[in-house]
Amino acid sequence: MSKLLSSRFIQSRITTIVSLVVGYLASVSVVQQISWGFYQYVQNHFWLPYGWLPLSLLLLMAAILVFAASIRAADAATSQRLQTVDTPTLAIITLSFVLLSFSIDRQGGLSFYWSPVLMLFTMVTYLAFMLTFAALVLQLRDRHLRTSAYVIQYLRVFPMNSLPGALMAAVVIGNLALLLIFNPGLSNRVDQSIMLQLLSAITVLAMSLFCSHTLSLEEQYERAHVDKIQAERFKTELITNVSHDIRTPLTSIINYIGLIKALSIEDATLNEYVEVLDNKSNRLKVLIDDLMEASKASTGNISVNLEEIDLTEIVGQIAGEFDERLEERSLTLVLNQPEHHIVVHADSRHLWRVLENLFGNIVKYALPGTRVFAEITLHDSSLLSSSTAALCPVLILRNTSETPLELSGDALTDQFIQGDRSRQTEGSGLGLYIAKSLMDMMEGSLTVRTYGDLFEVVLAFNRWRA
Amino acid sequence: MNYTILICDDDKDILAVLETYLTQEGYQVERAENGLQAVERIQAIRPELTGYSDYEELAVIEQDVASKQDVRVQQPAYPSETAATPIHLVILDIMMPVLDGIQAAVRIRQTSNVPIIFLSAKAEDTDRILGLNMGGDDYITKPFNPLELLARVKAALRRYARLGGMQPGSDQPADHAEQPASANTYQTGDLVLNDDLKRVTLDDQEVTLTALEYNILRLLMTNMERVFTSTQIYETVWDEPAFQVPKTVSVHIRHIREKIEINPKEPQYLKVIYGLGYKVVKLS
Repeated sequence: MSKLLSSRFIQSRITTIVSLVVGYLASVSVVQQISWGFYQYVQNHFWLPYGWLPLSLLLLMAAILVFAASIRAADAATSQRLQTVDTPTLAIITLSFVLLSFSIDRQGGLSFYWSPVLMLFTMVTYLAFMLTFAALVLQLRDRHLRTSAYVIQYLRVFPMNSLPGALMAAVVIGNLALLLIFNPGLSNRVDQSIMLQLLSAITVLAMSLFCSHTLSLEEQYERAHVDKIQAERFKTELITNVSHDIRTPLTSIINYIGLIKALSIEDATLNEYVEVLDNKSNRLKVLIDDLMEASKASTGNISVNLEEIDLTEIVGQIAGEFDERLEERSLTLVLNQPEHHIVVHADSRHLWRVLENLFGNIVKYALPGTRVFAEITLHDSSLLSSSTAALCPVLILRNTSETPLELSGDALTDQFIQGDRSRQTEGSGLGLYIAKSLMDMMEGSLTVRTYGDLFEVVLAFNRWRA
Repeated sequence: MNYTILICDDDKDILAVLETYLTQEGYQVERAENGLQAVERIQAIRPELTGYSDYEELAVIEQDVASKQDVRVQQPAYPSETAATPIHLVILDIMMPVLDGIQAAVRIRQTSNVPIIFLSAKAEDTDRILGLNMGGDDYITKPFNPLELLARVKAALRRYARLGGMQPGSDQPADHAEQPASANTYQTGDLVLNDDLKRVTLDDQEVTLTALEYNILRLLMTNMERVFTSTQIYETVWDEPAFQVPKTVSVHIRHIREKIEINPKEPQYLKVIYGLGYKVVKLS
């Protein structure tokens, strides 16, 4: 059965469409016959409580129970999910549905002269339907939502409030209403019901075409996405390996420069050259570390432990850490925070790194002698991005840039960017990019805005304790 | 005492630079160029005590190497008379040919409790944790700061000496003078705070602290492993109205760290718990 599920036949779009059309047709006839058959049953066979119907209903109940149990069991033994558990369950479900449809048809079919054809239709359709349904359920459980759940896809691509979505909904609902009004099953106006069924079949066909179109788009996207992930992973691995390989010779360079500096050399020119070597080799070290971190953070190749963090406390801690470096540049830090403590959910080490990068930037790029503002407050996050969350804690850092900012806020958070493009300072140009990637991973956001020479970074935390 | 340090790295330049630094500090230095040489050197010390069950396996590895690289198995580089010289500390690279540093450390740990310091280009946390779990006493990343390396070597040797590792065969820690003398002495690792004398020593050298710094450190050391928030520290130590408490406390904590830690950015004793507070770690 699982082989069948993974076969091309079941996975092909034509099967999906055909099964949908036929299933819809059949279910319409079933609806008719339930009402008709039930009426007949009550009218004529009230004295016969045992037939096909109770038996198949019982089977169906059992199947649902077994199915639920099997999902539980499969979750317990996650390693061997698909093969072991689901085959008997599927068999039971399919069988019971076939029996059910058979019984319904047998009860009501008497009044339809074409009922043997319909019965065959119903059986085959239910088989195909159940297989598709089972595939859908299994894939839903394994969270391959994108490729399988076409109903969900349909609703997502054509939401009810869009024009095509509304049209489709109107057609479907209209059809159902017509069915219920004009064909309550008590009449056997076959000509009318055939008309209705043709109408619904056209509807279903249109729906299926929409679905299959969506599916193919989604598949393309999925393939591109997988390619992209692989490329990113390859990039990360490459960067990690290369940086290991660079570190070893760099160790020798840095240490031998250290040894040269320890010698007492009189030659001023030589000392100057050594000093340049020293600076540049240390810069290279920073660059390698940042490069590795940036590649890991941007590909999500990093673990995140969300814990409760007192925002006021951690900002105070980082402020204390940078106290002297701020003083050296004659920068005054103005902390502006609420009386009560604000607790956010974040990864403390990542958040620390974010704050280190931001304060490092302030120390490097702020105009000496100016004030730096750090404000913790509750803010309407919809002002920052398109998200709909209401109030969330934000940390806003504002400083005056020493050099004119030539780039927009968004461009500043890209890789290898420094505001003045000169790359004269010791930074790698990755600081803001790393900070942004880390904030994204912690389900927060980092927004950079510039107003003339005013540089503003807003950290927003979407997860927090109110 | 004249300590002998075994340095092990496949990069000869790094070996040379390590040797230069270490001999300048007065240590004896021996070299090994891969993990297997280091393991052999350590096991050559006390062959009668090794009881080494993996000897055959080791021989197999040697043969493998010999056949793969088509070179003769290197004879142990150490003649029998120097084989008795004990090694007091090993500095091990991780990525090495023949036998990598992690496996070498595991093998060394089977017979010896000599301190092992990893010196590796692998800088990720997972590598660090692996190294420390596999028998490493410390982990330094390349490129390294020579002063930090020397300080860590010194600290590791001191711990080794205090725990009695210097006398082979004796499992008892040696008696030492820094045993807490009174109830008012608090110790973690090499950091001792004597509340009677109002004195803090690190490795028997006095640390100069301001009154505030001393009081903060005393609070943390009398309650080791307990995390104090900045507000709690402020309320206990200061007697003035609070103003920007987290930042004020953080500045003082950083000053203390700069005085008592080998590398203030990677503190051993006084840890910052980000977004929560501070604590002093209890070390043996």
